[in-house]
Amino acid sequence: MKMYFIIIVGFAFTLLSLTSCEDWIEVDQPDVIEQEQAFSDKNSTRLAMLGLYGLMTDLVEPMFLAGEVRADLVTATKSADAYIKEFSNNSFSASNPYISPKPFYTLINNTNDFLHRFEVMQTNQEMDSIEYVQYKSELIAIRVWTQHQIAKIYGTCDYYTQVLTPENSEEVETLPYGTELLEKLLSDIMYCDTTTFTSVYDSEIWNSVRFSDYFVNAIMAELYLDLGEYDLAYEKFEEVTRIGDYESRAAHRFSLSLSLREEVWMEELFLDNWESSRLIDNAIFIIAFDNNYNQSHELFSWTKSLNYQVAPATWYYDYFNEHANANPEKFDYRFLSMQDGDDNIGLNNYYINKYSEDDRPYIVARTARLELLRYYCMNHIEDEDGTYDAYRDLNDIRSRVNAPMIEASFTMFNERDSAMLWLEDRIIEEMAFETGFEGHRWYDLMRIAKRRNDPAYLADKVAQKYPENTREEIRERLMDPENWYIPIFD
Amino acid sequence: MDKIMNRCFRLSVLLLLLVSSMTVNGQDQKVIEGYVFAAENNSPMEGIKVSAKHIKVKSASTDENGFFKLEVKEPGKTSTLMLIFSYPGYQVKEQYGTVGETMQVHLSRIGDYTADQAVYFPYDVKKQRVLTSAVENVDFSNSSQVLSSNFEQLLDHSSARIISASGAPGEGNVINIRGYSSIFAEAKPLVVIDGQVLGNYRFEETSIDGYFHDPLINIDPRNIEAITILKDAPSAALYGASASNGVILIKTKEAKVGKTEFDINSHYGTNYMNKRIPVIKSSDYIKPYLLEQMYSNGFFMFEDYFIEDPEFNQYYRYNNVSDWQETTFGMGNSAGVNINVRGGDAIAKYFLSGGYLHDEGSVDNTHYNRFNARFNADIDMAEWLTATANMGVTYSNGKLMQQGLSYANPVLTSLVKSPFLAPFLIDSNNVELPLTEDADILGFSNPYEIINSSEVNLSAYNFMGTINFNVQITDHLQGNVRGSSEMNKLNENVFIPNHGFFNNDYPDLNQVRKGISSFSRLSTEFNLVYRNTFSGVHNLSGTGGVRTYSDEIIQDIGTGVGTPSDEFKDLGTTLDDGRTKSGYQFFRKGFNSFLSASYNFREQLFVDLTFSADASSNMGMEATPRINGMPVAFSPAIGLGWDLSRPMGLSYTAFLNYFKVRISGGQMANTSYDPYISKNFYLPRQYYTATGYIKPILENEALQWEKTNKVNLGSDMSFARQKLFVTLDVYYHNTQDLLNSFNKNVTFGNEYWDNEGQVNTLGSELSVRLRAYDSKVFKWHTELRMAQYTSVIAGMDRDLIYDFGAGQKLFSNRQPAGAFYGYEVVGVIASAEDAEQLNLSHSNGSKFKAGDIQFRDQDDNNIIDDVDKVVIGNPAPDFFGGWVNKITLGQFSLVTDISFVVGNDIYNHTRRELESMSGFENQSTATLRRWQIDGQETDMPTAVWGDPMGNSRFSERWIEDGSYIRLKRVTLQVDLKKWLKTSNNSELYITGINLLTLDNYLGYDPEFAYGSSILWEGIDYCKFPQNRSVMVGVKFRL
Repeated sequence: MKMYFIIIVGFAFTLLSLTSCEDWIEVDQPDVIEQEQAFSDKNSTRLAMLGLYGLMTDLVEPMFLAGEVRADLVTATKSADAYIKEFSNNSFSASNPYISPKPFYTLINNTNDFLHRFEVMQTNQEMDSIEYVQYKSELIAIRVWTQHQIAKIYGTCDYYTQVLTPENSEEVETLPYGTELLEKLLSDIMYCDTTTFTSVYDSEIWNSVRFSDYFVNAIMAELYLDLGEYDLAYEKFEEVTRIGDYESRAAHRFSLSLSLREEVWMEELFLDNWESSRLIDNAIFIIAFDNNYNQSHELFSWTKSLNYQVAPATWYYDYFNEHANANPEKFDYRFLSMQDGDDNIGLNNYYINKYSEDDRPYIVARTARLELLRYYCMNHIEDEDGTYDAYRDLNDIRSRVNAPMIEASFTMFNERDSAMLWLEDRIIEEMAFETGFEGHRWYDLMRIAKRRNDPAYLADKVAQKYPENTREEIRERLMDPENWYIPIFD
Repeated sequence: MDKIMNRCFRLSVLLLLLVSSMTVNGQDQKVIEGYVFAAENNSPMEGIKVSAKHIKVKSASTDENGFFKLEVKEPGKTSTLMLIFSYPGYQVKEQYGTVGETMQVHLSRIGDYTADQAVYFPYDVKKQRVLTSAVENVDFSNSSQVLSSNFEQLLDHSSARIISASGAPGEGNVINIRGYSSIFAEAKPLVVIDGQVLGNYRFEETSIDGYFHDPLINIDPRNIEAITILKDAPSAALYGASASNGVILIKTKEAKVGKTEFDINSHYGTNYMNKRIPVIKSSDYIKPYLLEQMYSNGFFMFEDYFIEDPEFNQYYRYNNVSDWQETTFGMGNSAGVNINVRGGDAIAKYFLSGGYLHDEGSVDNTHYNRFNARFNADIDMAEWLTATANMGVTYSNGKLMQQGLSYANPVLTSLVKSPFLAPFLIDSNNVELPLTEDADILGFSNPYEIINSSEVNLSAYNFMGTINFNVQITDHLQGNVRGSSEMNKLNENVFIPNHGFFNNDYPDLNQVRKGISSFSRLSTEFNLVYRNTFSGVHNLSGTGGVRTYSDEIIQDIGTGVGTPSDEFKDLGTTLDDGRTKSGYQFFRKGFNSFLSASYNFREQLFVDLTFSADASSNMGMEATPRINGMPVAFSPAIGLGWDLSRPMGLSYTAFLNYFKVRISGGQMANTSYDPYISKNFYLPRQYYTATGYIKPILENEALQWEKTNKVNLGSDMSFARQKLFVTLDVYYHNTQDLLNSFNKNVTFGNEYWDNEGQVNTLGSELSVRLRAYDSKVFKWHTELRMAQYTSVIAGMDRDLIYDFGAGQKLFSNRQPAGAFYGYEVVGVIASAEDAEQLNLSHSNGSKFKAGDIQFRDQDDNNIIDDVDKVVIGNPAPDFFGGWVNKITLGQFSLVTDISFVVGNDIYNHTRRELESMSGFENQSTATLRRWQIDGQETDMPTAVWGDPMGNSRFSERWIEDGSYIRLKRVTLQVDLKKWLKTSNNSELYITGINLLTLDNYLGYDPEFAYGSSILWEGIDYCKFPQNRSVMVGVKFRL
């Protein structure tokens, strides 16, 4: 009996010790997805990448604050949160939750991780090469776009394309927002230049993702623009908005270039049912939200809710009213971008009307803006008639929203340098009227200030939104281009 | 009885003498002789049974002079052997005797603290004398009437630090042994009950705000026989990598052979809390204050509050003098009964216990009920096979309240609610109507409604059970097979009505929250235990074995708002908007193999070696070292001891009777941490209508577990005829490879865990036990324990600043671990002139004016910003301990139990709510001396709506000295044996708990806890204060 017992126990013990301990401690956690499950088949791999767009939703508030609230068109209301006021005042404290570059780098780390996984899958022949190229292109484009945003907001970017480890993170280069970085980004995104994405988008969900070769071209165009390569940038912008190939593929997607229909402009931004509106045709890239899934952004509550925290700057509202079309018979649709608001909120009794719901998509790139940037390039290219052509097209696009014609004499285009400056001012003004409050203003001002080598251009413009007693102080601070970027506190 | 015994002994002595005289001429015959005395008074003891340990001898007995003579027939290997002396009521004494020598043996009573005290040890009961480790036998004999609902209070009588989480009934305690060796990994000690290693998983968050979940409250202190604390490396390493914070070994009451014993223990008493925080009670003060607040923001509202006309129909409604603290606190009853039965025969023995406890808190309408049962059985299935079963089941339910910063926390609300409002509606004729007031328009709930209609209910089921088969393989070798199961399930049900409550997030909506939390563990253990003695003087024992465990942790919480009316209390009828859900589920698995050996020579020189190897599912698979590709955490340790009593010639009559020195050291791994932080995994992330995956954490499969190097130097001494027993330990802990989540640079946008930094702890512990007076009629025993430690951070490349919401804690090189980090306060700027001279400004550019706080501008740049933060307090105490006195006079005895903590800093968040002067909260009376006119010298700044200058920021203002001396328990007990004419223990007692506390703390209570981690140490978020209690009880044995 005793012997039996000992034998049985001994046997059980031996069995236990023979079972691989490694298997015992490798636990399949129910709450998470292991790498093998995440990329187990075609569908799940495709689906997995949607998470990256989910991460982009975290960038909406920081991008809006950095690109718009800092600039001249928008100020914080009296009831605004202290951290939003910091953006409006261009002075930041470390505890401000919206200034951290971390969500941007989280997105980069995730794209790098996916790139790495796909490369392994491709090597192991778990993914076919056409798919691989499409996925890789998409990931690279997302990364380049993100890195470009970081550079624009923070003035520097930690450039890396590998999965980070403590060892290799020591070698990560921090590059200033300048030629070296932009060229690196351009050479990265060149990989996507010849990729066709369209075939991927056969399922419903892809209507919301909108990742396309148009967006790749838009990213490239803006990179060229930053480099001052106006010819190349012009070509890329034109590819997005004009080139015939696209017309045949996306019937009326870019209606801006086909017929500058007036209602389209309005629908782009103000119709509630955006999925069925023409917005989907005019948006090159959007970040989508859906209340039904508890997804929302703050832009509605900041701009349009009962106690909105940011509002159009008084000078801008006045200026706009002075220059927009007041003819009641032909309604200037641009008037829709601002509405009368609550007197109690403070100085600003009109609000921004571009975010009518808290799950409206955030537009990263749309044709109208790209078109205006195209004029901007046209104005600067080597072509003699560039400035005049840009002037003509600008009036064209204005007419679609019933804006009055900008008057100019033909002779003034003979003096190209002065005409260029004059038209640049008109274009930037139209960009404010048309695409204001959409998160790009600061970079547009910065671009011109840099091009003209005149910090006062930006400083003066931004300073005018402040009360007179603080104007000079702000102006002085912004005269130093170092202060054009949000500081990184670690 | 005793007489008969004595006669028997005498007879046997006579017989023995007869036999010995017959064999006195035998060749191999050796004789050991000596005298046996009672240690307490050095009187000779008669009738002591004397035998030898490792060889068979005919036992002897002492005569009336305490003399004995033992004859040994041994084939002459050694002339030294160990004798055993035993006598009822006395500790069994083992002592080496040598042939030819006359031994002097002193026996100590059970309960007297000596080196012969039996210490419950893993796989063995050992004498204190043979231990090389810092091991503490918790002597709670003087607190057997502890009425606490949980056993952890018994540890008050040890060098561990026990902090009661709050005064809410059924809340647990935090146990800390020798400070904090970790920041993010587990800091709780391991708990082993009857050989079963508990998971002791604590749910950090439940549906109940501020509730501290402590699974150990399910262990009834009345079922506990012995507790041992293993503090240093060689003792704790037996349990491997889960034991780096020390081990608490619990042995529940054993089954016993013999007459069936019934123990009945019952108590009844009252809980109350009579400390009050001085808040403003008069309208004359609070109304002008409210006006001041409104004017500073440029608006005027709530006109009705300020109409001073008795003709006004709301006048009586808004002109009361309510003492809301009286609404909140009351008297609670406490009653409990516990019945133990034990008995059995030579084959099967059992212990059966059932208990019920009802405990009402001092916050009105809170209570806790607990039903618990325990069954322990020993069955001798064969001569070589014993089965032991130990099982405990507990069901408890509690009616609690929200704690912490909740709008339904009655304690906090009763402080900030304006006193001119009343709990009931009062009509224009000053008649109180039977209708309660709703929340006020200032934004505070009605405390009366919180007390009477908030429903915060918790029910919990707990099971712990273990079955062990012990096989006697050879005379020296045993094998054990053990299987154990542990389950802990919480059901939380919260309903906060709409009427009477101010829900800021969802105004005018009630709130429902339901939660289920569940922990379960299955564990096994196989081991072999070897014990042998060679040549009578080489004692060797060893253990080796394998343990496995497998845990599942699940939590699901759902919240909803806005049921159709307060009659509906289910989640189903809540609104779609505002529903939230959260939950998680994960597994933990691991195994631990261990090997230990103890050797001693003649119980003079001791060597202990322990080695254990752990692997668990928490570990990163690339961590080192690895065996067969699998990471393994080693915990090696060694302990050495030397009993110098004999070499130094110490004797009972000398001043110093006993002197042993111990040194131990080793490395303890700690693998208890978040199972995800090293892993390569993805989480779902929804985008629009579909779900994708993201990587939340950059994996670091090479993440190392934490390792603590421990050194302990200790000494045990006994003085003055064993009246005084002193234990002194000095230890040093050096924890390496701290888990650290801070990012090396911003590029790590993802969470990334790495190993960086060290915690170094130097500490000491002293315990002194003195039998100051010891006669038959009058006895005075006293015991003083003191412990001290300092923990300092080293080796961090960058400071770790931990944000706990209201403030920050700092972990920085050469700074105390977890120090409070904030602004230093110079004082209040008295005048505009001073303000101009100081020229300080806020980081947003605004200037500090007269009446604002002057924070110290550390970098002299005239801007008060993050750079000016410094260490402003250390929550770790300078020293702490306890002092127990037991005075016995005849049948009466008085036990006083004092505990003290000195030099710890507390962040008093409650006071910050009461002295920020930035909103409509009622404020403490201290704010009456606030700065109001230019030139006023005061320490209280001006009242400004919204506090734009941050006068109430996390600063020295809110850091207080948390030192206290507390009369934890005082018990007067009467031994009823004499009156009841019984030999069984029967007692009647009256106990006072927390009757007296000496402290300077301005909050309710300097003793509280939110969690077992250093990150929570010293942060007081308005927990319910500890109760004071008076209880009467009886104990009977039938």
